[in-house]
Amino acid sequence: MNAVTQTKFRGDLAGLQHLVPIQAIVDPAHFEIERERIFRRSWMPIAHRNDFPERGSYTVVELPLFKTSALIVRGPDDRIRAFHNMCRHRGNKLVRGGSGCKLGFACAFHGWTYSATGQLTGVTDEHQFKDLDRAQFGLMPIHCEEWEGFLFVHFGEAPSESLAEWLGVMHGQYRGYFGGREKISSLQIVAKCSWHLAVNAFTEGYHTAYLHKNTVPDYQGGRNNPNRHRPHMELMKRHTRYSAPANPDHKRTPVEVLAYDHGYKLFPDFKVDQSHLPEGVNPSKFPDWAFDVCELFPNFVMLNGHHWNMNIYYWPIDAGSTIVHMDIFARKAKNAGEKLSQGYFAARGREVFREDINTLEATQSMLASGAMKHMILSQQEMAIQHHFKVALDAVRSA
Amino acid sequence: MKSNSLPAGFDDLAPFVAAWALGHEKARHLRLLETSIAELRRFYDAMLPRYPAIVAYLNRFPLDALPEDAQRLFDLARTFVETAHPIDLNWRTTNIEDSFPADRLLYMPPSGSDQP
Repeated sequence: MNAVTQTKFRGDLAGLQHLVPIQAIVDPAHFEIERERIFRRSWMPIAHRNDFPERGSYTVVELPLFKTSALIVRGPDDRIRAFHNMCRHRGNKLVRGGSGCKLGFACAFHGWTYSATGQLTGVTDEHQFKDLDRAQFGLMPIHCEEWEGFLFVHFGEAPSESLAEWLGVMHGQYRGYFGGREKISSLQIVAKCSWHLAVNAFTEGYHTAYLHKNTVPDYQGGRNNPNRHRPHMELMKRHTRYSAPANPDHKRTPVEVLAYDHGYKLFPDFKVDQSHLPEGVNPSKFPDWAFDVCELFPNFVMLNGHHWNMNIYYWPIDAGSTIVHMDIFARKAKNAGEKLSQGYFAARGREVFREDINTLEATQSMLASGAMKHMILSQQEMAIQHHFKVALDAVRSA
Repeated sequence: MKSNSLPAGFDDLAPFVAAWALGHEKARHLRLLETSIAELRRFYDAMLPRYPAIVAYLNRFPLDALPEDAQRLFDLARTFVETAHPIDLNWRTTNIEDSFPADRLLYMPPSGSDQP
């Protein structure tokens, strides 16, 4: 029998605290500082190119954090742009919500129209306006850049780091990895909890044997790793990344066998050919690999499998409520059998997600009592230790 | 009137069409949560042995151009794979206890589709 899996830590562990003060989670004044010193200074993923399959595909993302709404649209030139979702005439909200596909947007108030590149294309009864230069009244852009299909936004006056600098070592490590996928499921909730709790619920594997014992009893760990230690955990300047250990003894259920053998395998699938995976995926090339979890600080977590990924966006509303939005992508289905495999995978993922998010309000309500001043974190929760170190350092930096 | 017909050779599954051939993720999930284990098991037991033939039949068509009766069969199969876990895992209920309330989930539409 092999030895129990020990986690190999990479990166700078200095300054990490296993005791984390609760204040950041419960204090509204603290959140107001975070809004300016964390969120206004960060590159934040807001959407992925795979969610914009056609020219004209658009989606609306509400951003209560900065009291705005973003209209994100793929133009005829294939560039994806983000705009304040607001008519330049008198500020009416241009698209009320949802997503769709169109190459122009008309304001319901006075009929002004805009192209999918944000240009003002039509003004009704235009001669009644004095000196209206259409070129000056296009939709107002939100500063954004793309990396591997992810659209990142920045709400600062002038970003002090380029997106490449912000991503650090990860920047060149995912080349092409996310391509060729389609969205297979998408869920959103509003949780009455701090954004920290929402992020933290997805960045440790310690809970999986307990919280998910009914939904995914044997996907991770196994005889040689009963406590499901992460084989690899990497702490970067701000971001974190770890790999989850597969359970080689997982017992396939009857419908898992049918759904995957008559289509394609998503998760669990532990005997995958890893040769096509870029450097950033399963970075330690652990043989019994399940998937990776990456936190892109501050408010994004991705789970990366062999040809699927889950993107989880966390948008704070205020100190005590957060929008949690999860999109699941997988390699495009070639036929009905593969489409059904996707459904099997996404449905189980949804049940696991419901368990994860069910802890949030229960925890927040108890922490709000103030009875507990600190929480104590295990080495398997090092990504959370790191999250709070980065967050607290940012709050202290004027 | 909406037809409930399935492609030839799948008539044995016709009694399940009205309740289980559901076109939307939310409808399929809510159907699961309101169903008893006994009722779910009847659907599961009927679908399980037929699944290989169903997929073999559906794979003859392009995914975005399924004839109407094949689409119905696809929706039936899709509900099956999305509701099988309580039986596969020997749950006592179709709605896992201590889980986030389904009525607070927003099911977002597929990429590029119009409004939910």
